[in-house]
Amino acid sequence: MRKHGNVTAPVDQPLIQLSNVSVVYSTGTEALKECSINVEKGEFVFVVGSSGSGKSTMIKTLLGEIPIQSGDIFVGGNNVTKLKRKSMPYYRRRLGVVFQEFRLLDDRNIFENVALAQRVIGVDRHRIHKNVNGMLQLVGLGDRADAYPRELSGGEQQRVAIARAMVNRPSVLLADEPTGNLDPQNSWEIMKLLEDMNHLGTTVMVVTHNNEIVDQMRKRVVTLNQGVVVSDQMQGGYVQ
Amino acid sequence: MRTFGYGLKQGMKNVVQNKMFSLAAIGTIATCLFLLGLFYVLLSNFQNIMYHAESNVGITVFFKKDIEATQIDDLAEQIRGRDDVERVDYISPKEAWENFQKEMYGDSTELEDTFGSDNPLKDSASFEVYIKDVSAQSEVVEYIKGLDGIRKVNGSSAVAKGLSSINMLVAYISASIILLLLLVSIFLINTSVATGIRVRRDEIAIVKMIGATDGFVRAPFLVEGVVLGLVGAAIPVVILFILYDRMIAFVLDHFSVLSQWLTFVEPEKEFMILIPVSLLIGVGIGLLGSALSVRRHLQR
Repeated sequence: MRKHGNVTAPVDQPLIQLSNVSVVYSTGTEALKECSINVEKGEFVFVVGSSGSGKSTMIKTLLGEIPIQSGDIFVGGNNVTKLKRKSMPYYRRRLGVVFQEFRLLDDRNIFENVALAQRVIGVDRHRIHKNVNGMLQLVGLGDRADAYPRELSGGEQQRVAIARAMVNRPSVLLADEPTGNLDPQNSWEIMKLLEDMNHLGTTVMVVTHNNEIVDQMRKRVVTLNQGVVVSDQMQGGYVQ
Repeated sequence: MRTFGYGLKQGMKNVVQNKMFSLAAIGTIATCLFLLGLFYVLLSNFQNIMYHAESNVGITVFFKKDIEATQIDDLAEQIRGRDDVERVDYISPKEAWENFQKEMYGDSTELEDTFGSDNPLKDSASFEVYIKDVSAQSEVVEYIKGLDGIRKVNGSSAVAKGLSSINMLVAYISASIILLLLLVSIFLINTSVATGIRVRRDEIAIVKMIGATDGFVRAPFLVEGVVLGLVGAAIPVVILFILYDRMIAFVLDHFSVLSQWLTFVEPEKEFMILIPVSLLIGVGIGLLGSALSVRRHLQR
């Protein structure tokens, strides 16, 4: 059994826990200041705020992409800040990530883009076929497996990105501005899809600017302003 | 195992998909290895010629007048016993006289008319001692001089020293040029692969983001490096193989005066070394170039 972290959290800890996290970039910008939030298993959380408020930085710290200056980050019982470089890939396999710009591989078809996540973790060919096709059905692209990203609309590409993020059944799905490049109708469809994933048991954390969606979905809303958590509302709305 | 399978498939696909980059990398490796191979062929043939020239530099050993035949046998055994001695030939007085006549007058009977059946060299039985490494000549000469029953030892020390110095000089120059060519190859392939990887920087970032280990990210690039290295190495080997016989024929044809000095390495012997060495170097620079380039991106 491979060990992923060297520091584990107490048993009753939330699934995601940021405690007094501060991030300062090399330019001197303070992206997060003593930030603390807890996210329980199965929650759907919006993280909102203006540009430069630290929303994306929060996602990056959860992914272990950038170092933090102080505080602790626990995800699924592992202290992310103390993970060794070698353990990081195994930790990331427990997260699904979706970005604004989809980040699909243009030289591979839809099936291969989604299958890549399974190949990374060493799933056998037969199961890859079954899992990927199942996931493409779930996101409504069952008949587009052979298409290439350039042949799909923005909304469809984001669905592929969600399928790739979800195919390994991660416990957490992180989405950084997933509707940023989409029209209102596609934005709603993507949000519905993320909600569906949440109903399947995945904890979902969505960074967004889209106040209309946030206001209508009535989920938990964490608002950041200049790296500080200024509000945290259950069934909240977009705070300007 | 599955990572290996993925790496192999993806690496091969990358080679085909990135045609321009692949051609540039193969061209780079092929050019460097062609120069390296050409240099090796020239060097090995030069050394072969030198070796033959060296082994023809003999030491002539004359015996004292009253020496017994058994004593001559003992001396031959003693000299042959040295590691640096290639062979010892006994030249009888008769052979010495015949050789002298031949060298001086060819087929003319002038000397025979003067001396009749008398052999003026009847006390000039000798050994021709050939040594493995011409630089050891003075040592061997001193050794033979110290043996009982020896009257005189003639060694062409100037030729020996000359050949020895040329050999050393060629060895130093060769080592420097080979090293330089290798470094240039690694630099060029590193730059080529780095360009290829820069194009696929997003791909590396995506694969890392979904939890790929360094090995998984690296595998396709290493396969690509090996394939490019192998193809890049095979091309110059084939070209050199085709050119080798023609080059020898050309030299012998145009420099026939030197033909008795020019002893070329046989193609089978030459390419038995050149083929595996070139392929290994090709694979090596392909692997090293890829590994160095991908490492930079993995550390980000």
